[in-house]
Amino acid sequence: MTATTVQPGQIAEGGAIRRMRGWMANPWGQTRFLWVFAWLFAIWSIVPVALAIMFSFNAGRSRSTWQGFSTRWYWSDPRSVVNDESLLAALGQSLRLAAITMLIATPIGVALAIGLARWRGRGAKPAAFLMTLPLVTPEIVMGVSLFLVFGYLYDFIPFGTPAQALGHITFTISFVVIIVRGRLFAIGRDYEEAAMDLGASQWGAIRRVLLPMLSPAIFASLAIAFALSIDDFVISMFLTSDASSMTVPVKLYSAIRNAPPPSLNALASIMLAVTVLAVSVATIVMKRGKKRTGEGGSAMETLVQMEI
Amino acid sequence: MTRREFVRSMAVAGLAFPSLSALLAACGDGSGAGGDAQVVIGTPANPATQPMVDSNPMIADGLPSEEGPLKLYNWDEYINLDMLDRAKQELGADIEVTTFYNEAQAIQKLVAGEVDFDVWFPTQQTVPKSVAGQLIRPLNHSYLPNLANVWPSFQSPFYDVGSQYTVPYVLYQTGIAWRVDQVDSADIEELENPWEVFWNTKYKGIVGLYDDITETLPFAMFRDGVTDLQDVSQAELDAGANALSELVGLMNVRYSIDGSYAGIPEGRFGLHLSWAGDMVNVKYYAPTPEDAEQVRYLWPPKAANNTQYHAMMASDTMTVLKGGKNPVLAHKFLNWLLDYDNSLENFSFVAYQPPQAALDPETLVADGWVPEWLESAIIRESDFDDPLAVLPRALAGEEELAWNDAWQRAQSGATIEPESEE
Amino acid sequence: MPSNLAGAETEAVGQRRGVWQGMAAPGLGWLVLLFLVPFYAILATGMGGRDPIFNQVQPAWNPLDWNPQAFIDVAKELFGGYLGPTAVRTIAYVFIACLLCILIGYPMAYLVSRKAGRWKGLLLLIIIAPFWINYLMRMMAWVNLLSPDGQINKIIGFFGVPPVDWLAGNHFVVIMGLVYGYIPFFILPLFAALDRIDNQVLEAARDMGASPAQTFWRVTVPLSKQGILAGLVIIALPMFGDYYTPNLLSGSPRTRMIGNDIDQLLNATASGTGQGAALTIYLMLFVGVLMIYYLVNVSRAAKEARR
Repeated sequence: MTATTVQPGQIAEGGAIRRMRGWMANPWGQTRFLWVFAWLFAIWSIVPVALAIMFSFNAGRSRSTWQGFSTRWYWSDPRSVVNDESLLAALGQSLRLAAITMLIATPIGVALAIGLARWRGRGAKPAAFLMTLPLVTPEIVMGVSLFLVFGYLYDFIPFGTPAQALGHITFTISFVVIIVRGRLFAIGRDYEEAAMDLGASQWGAIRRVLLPMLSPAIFASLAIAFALSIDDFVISMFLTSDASSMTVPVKLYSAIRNAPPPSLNALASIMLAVTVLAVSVATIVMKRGKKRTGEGGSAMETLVQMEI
Repeated sequence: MTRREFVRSMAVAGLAFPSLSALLAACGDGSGAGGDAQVVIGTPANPATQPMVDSNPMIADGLPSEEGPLKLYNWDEYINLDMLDRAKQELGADIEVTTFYNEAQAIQKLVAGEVDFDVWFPTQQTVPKSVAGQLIRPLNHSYLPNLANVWPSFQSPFYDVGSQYTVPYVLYQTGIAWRVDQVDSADIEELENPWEVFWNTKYKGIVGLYDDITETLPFAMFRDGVTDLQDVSQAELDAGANALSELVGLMNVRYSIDGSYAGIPEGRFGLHLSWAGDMVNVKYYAPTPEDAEQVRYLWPPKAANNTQYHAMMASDTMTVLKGGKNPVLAHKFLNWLLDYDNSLENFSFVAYQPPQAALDPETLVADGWVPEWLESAIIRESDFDDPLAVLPRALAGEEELAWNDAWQRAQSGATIEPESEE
Repeated sequence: MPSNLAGAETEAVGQRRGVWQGMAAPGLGWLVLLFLVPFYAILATGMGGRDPIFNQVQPAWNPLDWNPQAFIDVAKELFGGYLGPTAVRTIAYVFIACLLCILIGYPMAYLVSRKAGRWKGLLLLIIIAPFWINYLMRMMAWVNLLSPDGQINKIIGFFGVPPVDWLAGNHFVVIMGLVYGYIPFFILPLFAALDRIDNQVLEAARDMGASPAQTFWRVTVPLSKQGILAGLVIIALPMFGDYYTPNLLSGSPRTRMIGNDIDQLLNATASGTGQGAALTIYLMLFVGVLMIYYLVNVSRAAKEARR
């Protein structure tokens, strides 16, 4: 990437430490170190997962020794994803929960973020504090607490999908709030006030001015909510009822410890494909929206603008 | 979650707050764990008849099957799923399998009472408290003619005389598995105390134990010379826990559930505490046939020079859960699985041997069930008569607390001070 | 100043109609019912007793029935008992993992946000990719790589190094697993913070005579401080409750974290639920300290942003 040619001796003498020091002294100039670093990071980041996907196509039962290419763990084997009902059910459950979580946690979280950002006076501070608590709560704590509360107190809510969905939404709301809140602070209040000066009502200003300006954060929230839900396993596990409510992560966790056949890799790979598809759709939608509003930059960037 | 439901939740919470203890009282009744019930623990010397109570009656004779779906609650990889397709057709109902990681987790869910599984596969150690807590239903033997197929000793086992609540599922012995390319067989087979190999620092780093209190704590006590699990003192328990703690630093021991049937053939472990059934499974998990050939198994009572160090063997059970919606279907399923051909088909996947009288252990190698180098993993009814064979102890009450406490410390690698008595 | 006055008016209008409280109400109600009440359930459990048959916990909902025995037992174990070393190890793991996340994550986020040029999209994709892959699948990938006959041992074997048993209680492997698992959650908020920095601000600094290094350390880093903090909180807190990473990548008591003890107390033995709940409460109190630090910073930033 760099135009400068590197002297062979320079590398031998310099080493990573000098490069690091050089970068610290002049982070704007020399980016060669950064580039090496970046590609190493990329390899570290991607290769293990790429291998895991590759082994979903292994012809043998091993997940570390390549025994030839095959799609048996997807279609043909009796324990393949298509033939093993428990794997298919897990996939369905994961997607169902992620969709429910995304669709419920996002509006609640966006409203809460706006409310908290603008609300002054008594109650505002405790409310903000309450919102941040789920963020500090390790998942295991929430899993236990929800298990106990659904088991002993809210026993009209059955374990399985209802309890799992409620649990996922609970830990997702606060993430939505912090994503949206960052964007709210960045926007400030001037636009809304301008709208109201021009005669818009409070609700009108929120609907016509604030929400459109928040749309990148809202899309990011949807994506993050989906990701958090689909990635969760502690809460899902505590709140499962029976086979029908086992999610992919729960299935993965119990199986990694039980020497799974590569159909598990296949299951995870399929879930990955579904997720990527969902993200791509979101990206395209946002890109269109941006063209209309004439903003620059790639939609992918906006997607990760989790402004906190 | 619609707004209506939200409002409903609010209303319920408004009610719930001032009357939490009232609500709890209601919950407590529902859990079925009444305070008066007695946990009846049988021992081989004093077999126990599990109590029958009016509040937990058996089902009547000759009822028609329910519609299902029949819900099974089982360990992972512990039933042949392909076989279940045929079971669905023959029993005329759908079957769902849910797995649990260990029994504590299973009991927690069952006691909470929010699940409606029909058939559960507990260890025999769990049976007495499951009866006392009314988790499981008494069995109506008119639905279970195939119980006659199992070994006579299992038609009326010591933990449940008359098989009033349980029928046997599959057998296990807890022994030692190792790879000959990593461990010298002589270091196990020729020892007076084969269990000592787990403390042999030559094998540091390749040693694994089951993440299971009912196996691993007795293992450590057997190594120390304990001969009977029915009467274990606190000192023996502490010594066992300390012996396990020692392994953390000495051997870099790791705890797993899959370390034997998968970890050994894959090479992740060279030496592991092992259920016999895990050995029959090795061939399915070995990356190459050569890996499978590396694996050996020994149940210490069968070691040539061992005259005093004990080891455990037992059978897991099948039960019908009280909270299930398909008790008749569940009975029929139990009977179906006690059928010789069906239980053999299950064996072909699960690899744990059923106590079927018609199954001749001597033919298992010839018929290709078990490779000849793992012949030692075959269980015979006569093994129960081995003077070094130990049957597991059902735990409850204070005794269970003491075991759990010792186990918790052992897993942390902490040593119990002998004088820390209260 | 005029804008401030207008703000005050708007506020008054919003306040009077309860618009803002109304918007916050559903979310707050949700959190009260499904976060605070369940949290009380943990406390009630820790203060509860056991049923005589299964030794299963029986929560004491009424504070008058509370029995603090489990809290006392756990405190004894934490200070001088078997839980002490685990607690110290957990803090060390999380600290080192966070440090590594900064050392690896900051240059990455910096490069992608400000230096990547036409490679920006691809690098972003690489950073995001693990984010969309299930955590357990990523851990499974490492279990395969690090197994005795896995690819890592094959590679080092190529150079004549004897195979290493990576999955046998190796501190480095567990910390690496934590970093690998959580770093995307650290980089993304940081990237957002860095990407938001206006180039004009940096140019202004340089116009005023700051060297590139000074600009970086005096302007870029402080401006991205919120991003670092947010990222650290997002990753550190779940790490404190993690038990599956050490379980999957090691399974050895040598790499046990406090989450493993909670998991163990709650799941492996029925009778430990009360102690597990008590330990959970102690963990919450501990991370609460970190949280307060974070809250102070955030509210300061929030005030500045509102100004």
